[in-house]
Amino acid sequence: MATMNPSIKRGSAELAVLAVLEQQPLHGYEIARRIEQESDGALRFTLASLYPLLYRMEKRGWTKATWETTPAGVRRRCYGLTAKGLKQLGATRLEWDAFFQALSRIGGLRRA
Amino acid sequence: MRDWSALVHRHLASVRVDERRRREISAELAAHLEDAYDAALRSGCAEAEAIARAMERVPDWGALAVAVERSADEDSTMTRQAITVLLPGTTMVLAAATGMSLVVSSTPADRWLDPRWQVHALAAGLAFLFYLLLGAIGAAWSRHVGGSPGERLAAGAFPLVLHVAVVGLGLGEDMLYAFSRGAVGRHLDINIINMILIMLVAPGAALLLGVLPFARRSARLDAQ
Repeated sequence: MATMNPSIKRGSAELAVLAVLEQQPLHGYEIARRIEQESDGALRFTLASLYPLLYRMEKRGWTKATWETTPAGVRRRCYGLTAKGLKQLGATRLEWDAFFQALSRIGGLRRA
Repeated sequence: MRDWSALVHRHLASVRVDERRRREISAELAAHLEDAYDAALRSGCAEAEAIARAMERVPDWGALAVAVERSADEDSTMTRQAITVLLPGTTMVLAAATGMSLVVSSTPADRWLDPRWQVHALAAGLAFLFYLLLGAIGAAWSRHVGGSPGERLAAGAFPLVLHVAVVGLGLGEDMLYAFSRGAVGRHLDINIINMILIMLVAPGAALLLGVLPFARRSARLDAQ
């Protein structure tokens, strides 16, 4: 069985962000909005929980941020997934999968 | 329409990150709040409610400031100060040393003993302007790479390190000479005062004058 990541809470947020960025580069508000929407409101980020996470992921080389100007002339900092981030997403998914399987065996949980 | 940039900037003013990073973070967080506000308006909220919806994203400004600072702390402070102080500062020291060496090597020996005060005043004026320029370049460079006002001051005044070293050597030599003659008296006092005025006070004043225009926070850069 795979070793569990001790910082499971932070790991779940990382997984959520990496997963939405897998689809396309997004800016902070859009990342938070999509995670909230796709989790039916179960996962909700404040600025204090989202941006430090985004900055850490950028420093680790999982994402690359660039300032982009929207057609309306508004500047937004967009985060895109790097090859390293994509690899990390795969590893994180495996870790969470193992975690849910373990919980399922113990608690008789049903997976969606 | 609410000024989200000013709001974020005010709340993150105490966060210890370099100026450039602070501006970038402030702009990004302000954009997030503005997007949340616009989305609430589009969904039919009145302005007051839209503002409240946006502000729900920041239940605790203090916690946000701490979280941002912690994530920035992962950058090495040494690395930042090497960029904002040491690099511009040591370059200005090298420029000062090169400038002084060129002047000394290219000036005929008899010119140093020229009895006309105008010659010495012109030389002192040019040296003052040269140091004023060094202070300005050091501080402007530090500001350009995101130095705080204190870091700009340190970078601009850095060539004084060279002067302190020269004065220290000169004083040490003088004191040894005086002790060897058994006369630590008038000769030493006059030398100390002259040396401090010429080697520390005058160049220090020139450097600080050069730093001044770049020491204040830039309204234009802060607004970016």
